[in-house]
Amino acid sequence: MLAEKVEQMMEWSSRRSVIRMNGDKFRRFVKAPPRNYSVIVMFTALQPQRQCSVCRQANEEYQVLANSWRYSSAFSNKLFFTVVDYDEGADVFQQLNMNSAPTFMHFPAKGKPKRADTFDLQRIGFASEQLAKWIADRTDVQIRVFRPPNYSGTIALALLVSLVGGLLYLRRNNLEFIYNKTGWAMAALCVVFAMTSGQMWNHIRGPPYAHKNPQNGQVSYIHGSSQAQFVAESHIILLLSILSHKTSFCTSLFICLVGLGLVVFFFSFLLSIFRSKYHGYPYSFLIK
Amino acid sequence: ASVSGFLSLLSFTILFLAWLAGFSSRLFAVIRFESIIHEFDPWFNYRSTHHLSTNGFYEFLNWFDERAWYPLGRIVGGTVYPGLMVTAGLIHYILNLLHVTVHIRDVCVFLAPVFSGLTAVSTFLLTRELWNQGAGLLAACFIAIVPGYISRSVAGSFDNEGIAIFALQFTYYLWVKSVKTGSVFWTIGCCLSYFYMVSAWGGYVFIINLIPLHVFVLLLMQRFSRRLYIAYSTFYIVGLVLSMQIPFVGFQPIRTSEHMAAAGVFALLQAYAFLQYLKDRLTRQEFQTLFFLGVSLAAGVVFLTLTKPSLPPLLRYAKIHIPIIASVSEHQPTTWVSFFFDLHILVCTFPAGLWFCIKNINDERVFVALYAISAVYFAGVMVRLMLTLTPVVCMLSAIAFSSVFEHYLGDDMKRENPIKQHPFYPVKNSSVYSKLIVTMLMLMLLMMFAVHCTWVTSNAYSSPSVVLASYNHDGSRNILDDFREAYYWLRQNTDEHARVMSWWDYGYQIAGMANRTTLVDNNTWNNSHIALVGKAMSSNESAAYEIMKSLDVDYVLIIFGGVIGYSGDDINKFLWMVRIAEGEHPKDIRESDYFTPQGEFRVDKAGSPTLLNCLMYKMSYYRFGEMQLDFRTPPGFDRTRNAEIGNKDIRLKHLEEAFTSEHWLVRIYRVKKQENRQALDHKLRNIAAKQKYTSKKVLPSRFH
Repeated sequence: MLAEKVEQMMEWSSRRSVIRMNGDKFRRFVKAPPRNYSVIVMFTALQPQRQCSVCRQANEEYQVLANSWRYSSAFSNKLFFTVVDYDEGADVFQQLNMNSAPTFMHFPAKGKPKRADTFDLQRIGFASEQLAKWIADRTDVQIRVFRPPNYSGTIALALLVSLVGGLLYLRRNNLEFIYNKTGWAMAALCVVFAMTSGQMWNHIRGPPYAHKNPQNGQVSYIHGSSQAQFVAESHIILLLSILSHKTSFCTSLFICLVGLGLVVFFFSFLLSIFRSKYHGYPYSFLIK
Repeated sequence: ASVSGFLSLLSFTILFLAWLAGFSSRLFAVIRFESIIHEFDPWFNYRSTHHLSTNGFYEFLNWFDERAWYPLGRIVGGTVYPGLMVTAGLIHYILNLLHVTVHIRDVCVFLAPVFSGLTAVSTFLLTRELWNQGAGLLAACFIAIVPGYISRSVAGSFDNEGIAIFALQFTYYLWVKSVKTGSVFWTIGCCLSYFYMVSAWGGYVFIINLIPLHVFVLLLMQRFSRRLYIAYSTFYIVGLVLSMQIPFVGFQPIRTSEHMAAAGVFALLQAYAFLQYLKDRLTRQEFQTLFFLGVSLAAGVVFLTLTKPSLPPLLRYAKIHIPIIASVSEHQPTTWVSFFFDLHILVCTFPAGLWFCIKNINDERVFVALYAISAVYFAGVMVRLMLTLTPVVCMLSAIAFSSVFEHYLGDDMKRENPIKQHPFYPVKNSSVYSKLIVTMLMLMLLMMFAVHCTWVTSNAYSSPSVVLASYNHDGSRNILDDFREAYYWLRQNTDEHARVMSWWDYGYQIAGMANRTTLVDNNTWNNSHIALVGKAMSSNESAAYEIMKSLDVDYVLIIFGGVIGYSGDDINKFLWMVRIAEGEHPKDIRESDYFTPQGEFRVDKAGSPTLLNCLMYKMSYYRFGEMQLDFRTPPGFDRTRNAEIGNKDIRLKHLEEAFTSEHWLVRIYRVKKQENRQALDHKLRNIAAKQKYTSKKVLPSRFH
């Protein structure tokens, strides 16, 4: 009986690293004894109408982990990876009193799953490495996560280099545009503006674009504290810096004065935004 | 009267005033409190300088410190940049030779403000080489008061950056001069200055990568000249040999990837010069220029792929995998507010200066453009590197302001070709009114800048952090001197060879002020040792006692902020202790054990039992349960976490409380020795009743 079950599970897992289960299969192979293998189950809701983007991301990480297990040298019939979708096994969800997805659970070979057998997704996240660490904790099976090499970066770089090379070759008789100082100056200024408006912070921390206050529905583009910023905020600063620069390069007297006025206005605006973040800053220019 | 005489007098006066302004604006902390060393790292530097001034230079160079990292010790001579200590020691020695008896502590405290004046002078020299004298004077004034530099060089902040920025600017000035003149004299001066920079700060890597980059870009721009060849070849060889004289640097310049760019560019330059030499000797076609270009690019691509990725991506990798690096708040990326806070209008005007530099390009302006772009990238990635951005921002803003002033305040009659000099400004003569308005506006902006700098310096960057001050609503000041009180208690009431265990933040201060042996300190060179201490703090008392016995710990020192609401205490840092311990002992310590089932970190009754029984919790809240801070809150109310503690009846078995400071900020516990007799676990022995057995032997007749 047990040998049959194990053989069936091995056959399924040889076809697909993650075994899809419905209610019946789940009850037969994961809950019912006899069992001498551990099962990791991902409870998820991947149908498009469920609109669970986290489930999709967690599913990708889970697939990477299951594939790493299947093709590793330590692969045995002691650990299996399965998935139960809400639309295929709603009764399982009800039976286990589960109302959030995705959830990762470990069903040990012997005994009932304890509290630590549910993966703490809220705190740790769903990266494959963290899942592997949790599995090693619960089952003493070490899985080395192997991510398939991502060639998109290399391909993009190769494409760029060939594009630039082609451009240079086509214009080889007229290489004057490299010597155009304005172009280089513009490029340098772009880099400087990007950095000083906090784009690296955005890139590394990934903040939301703006914050919608749930109480009064007001959208605020500026973060309240001085430690964080929104993407929108950094774009505003970027715009202000560029505009205040363009206005200082003027060609006639009248435009010069207008430019000056604009510089003053933008600087006051910048100061007022700064004041709103650093409560206690006592100086302002024209705008309070 | 000669104009040039008047000009030099004016320059001298302005530079002197800039030095004075820079010096005075850094003295807020000294005036408000007293002349002491601030923060944590400067205490180690002070202790080393003290050792140098009492025992001599060679003792310092060969110093093995057995009072740190017990029982491992630390080879100070080989793991420290000696420039700072040697500078302070030298000044102290010279002053004492002249019978000006200054204490070494005062030399250390005031070293950074004095060197800020020197930085202003060297920035003046550098900017004068790049643009003109007016821009130089403006740059000197900017860098004297800009907050980005002040933050690391206030009086009392006795740290490497204080002298390193001076060395940086001076080295760059001498490099620009040597590229301009092509003379070996200036290049050797540059090498000596570079040697000083290497001895002063780990940031010398920036110089040794920027200068080769400059040479490389000049080669790409077809600006090769004999001056460049002489300058770089001499600089590379002599600089390399000099930099390897520092024990800490050792053989790194020929082994690690950060220095490979310099070697690569050196080889490239030799090849390029050789090909140029051949070209002069033999006749070739114009096709040769493209050949040079192609070879340069190919070589550049080849050695870029051979060397490892640059520093910031490496830092990000380290941040994910090594919790200690992630826990330092200065290694975070920069928001735009930090840029504006530290640099005010300079950050808005320096792109304009950059534009002018690129439009009127020559050899040295290529250098400053590259400096600006690389510095702004690094500053965007890591807040701490804002310091390297500050000098170049000052220089470029000075260039921008100088151009504006020159245009609007300069004499139109004397100018010959206004079109050629300023391609962007109006051709016709502007009226007096517009000149006046623009000048007034610029002056107002500069005044706002000065006011902002002073405000920032006074409020944000002048706290010694050894002494805490709070202000009541009537404005009077309340000083909390708990740290020094506790360290002096340790100094006076414990045995000289006692060993103190605390978290690594306080190691340098304990060694400096209390003069006791510590287990771990801010150098954080041994992660496993720190993990052991973290494990002891996060385990329960018996398990922790085993660890403390094995490390010969006599006293444990913790920081507790619950009475006054101090948020930098050890309970708030506790999760980092757990994470670091878990990194080394994953089977014994699990971070999830210290959270509630809902995933919260709570110290009240609902907190996790592992947390409520761990050593750190017990030490922090020992006897706190009986303390009622005011009548509105229950006894045992932690003001920092805003919660009533869960475990009020705490009993310590292996520790006893030795000292608690006035506001309960620092708590010191003595580790009790093991008891002489240990009660063994035993059961009463059951003696089964045996049958009485009487021997039937008869004694021999002799004994009758």
